[in-house]
Amino acid sequence: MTETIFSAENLTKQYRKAHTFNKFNALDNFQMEIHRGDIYGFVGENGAGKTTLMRILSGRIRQTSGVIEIFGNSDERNLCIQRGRIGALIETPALYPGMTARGNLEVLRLQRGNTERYCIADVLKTVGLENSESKKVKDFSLGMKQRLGLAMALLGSQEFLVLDEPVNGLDPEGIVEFREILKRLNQEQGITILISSHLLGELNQLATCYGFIHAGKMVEQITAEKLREKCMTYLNIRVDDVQKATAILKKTFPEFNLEIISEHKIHIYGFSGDTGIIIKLLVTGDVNVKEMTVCSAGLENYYMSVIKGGKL
Amino acid sequence: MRNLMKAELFKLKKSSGFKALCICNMASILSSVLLLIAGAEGTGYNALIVSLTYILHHAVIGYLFAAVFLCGEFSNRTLGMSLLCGYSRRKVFLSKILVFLFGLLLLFLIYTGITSIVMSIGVGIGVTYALLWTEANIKEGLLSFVKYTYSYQIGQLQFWGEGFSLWIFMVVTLLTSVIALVTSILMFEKMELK
Repeated sequence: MTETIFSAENLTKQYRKAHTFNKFNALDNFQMEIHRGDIYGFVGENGAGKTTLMRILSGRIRQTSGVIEIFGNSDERNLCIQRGRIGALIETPALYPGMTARGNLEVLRLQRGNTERYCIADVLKTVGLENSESKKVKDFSLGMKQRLGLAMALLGSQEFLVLDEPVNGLDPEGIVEFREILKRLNQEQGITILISSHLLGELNQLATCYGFIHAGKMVEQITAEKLREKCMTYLNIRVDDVQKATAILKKTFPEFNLEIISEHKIHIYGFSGDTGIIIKLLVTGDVNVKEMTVCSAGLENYYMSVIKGGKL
Repeated sequence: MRNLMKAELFKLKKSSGFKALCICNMASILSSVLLLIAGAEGTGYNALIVSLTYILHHAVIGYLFAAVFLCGEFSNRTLGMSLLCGYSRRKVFLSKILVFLFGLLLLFLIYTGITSIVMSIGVGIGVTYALLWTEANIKEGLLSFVKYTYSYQIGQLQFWGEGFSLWIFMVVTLLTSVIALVTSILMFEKMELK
């Protein structure tokens, strides 16, 4: 069984609403588990609690209640030490604007006690900033700052990367490069990655498992493989008698993955055949077919269905 | 903690705010030269003692230095990065405070050093025994420090003689510093960082 890198159990974080004594839960009995080697896509709407979780993970804030475990340690003293194995880019990168890119990385190198000076040149090359190392950060564009933030997260061969909307501000070329960097780090060095993004198409090409968060609660954790199964192409059929139609289809095509969605609606998952046969079959069986469409549920549709609590 | 201190020293070296404050303090050379030209009375020793007691100047420099060196960490959100290097909040805070105090001492020495050197070159040191570290000289130096600074603050208040006032001054200063340090560490440990 793969090692659990991070887990959260009944994690709750309360904030006080501005100008009132009322409190609200940014995280509410939140559960999560990330295993070694995962690229964990963390998905949720604005204010769902993604950044709060990442800030707790990185030690910037403390939870109100609940337990977090990093690399198998949950006591405060060991959590501090284990956080040394994490690289993070949370919201916008935390940089010294008056220093150069190299200077910023040098501070972090000294703090981490890394004696290999060349590691700075390596990470700058990895993120494509080798020509801007002597430029002051205050003169950087948003995308360059984001790249430097990633370089800081990568410095020191960290085992676990926590990235909160890291592709914000990157150009399309930068997004592709960024994705390739993360894939390479994950595959070649086995680095575990927790990444949140609103660009679901981007996550879809990267993540090996997903966590859907809504209003501070983990709605669903699912592997990419299972998600693909759930999101495959399906046939949406609207009929007058759903029971009769299901019986006919099951009898003729027992291999079909059928699901009754509502009183008049059936989904056939993984369908790739001729829809004419299905229509003919149902009409012959005295079932009135009102509608038939071939649909494909992408990650976006799945996310919407999970968050809204409905079906695909 | 050693690595944190190294990083803090590196930041101090690269801090343009610190460099600007050093230049400001070096500008005291001008005021000393002007005093000499104006024919002010005094010696290098006097300048040393008097410059030590410019509490307002040192306080303003201290506030500005704290603003550029410590507050910048909060506004740039860089403190969170230090927490991801495997250190507790207490260690992060202490290393920062220690380097801050070191920087403050440097600024302090630049100001007092320059004024006393300029006056010594112009007029002479004045009192040769001032360089002897005898108990009497140290006591006299500290007493004059108290007279110029502490008694200024509380209106020439004297507690049962000069010796006792000196002790009161040192104990109160030490106590308030320790309370301030402990309070700020506790506050920092509870603080929610962005």
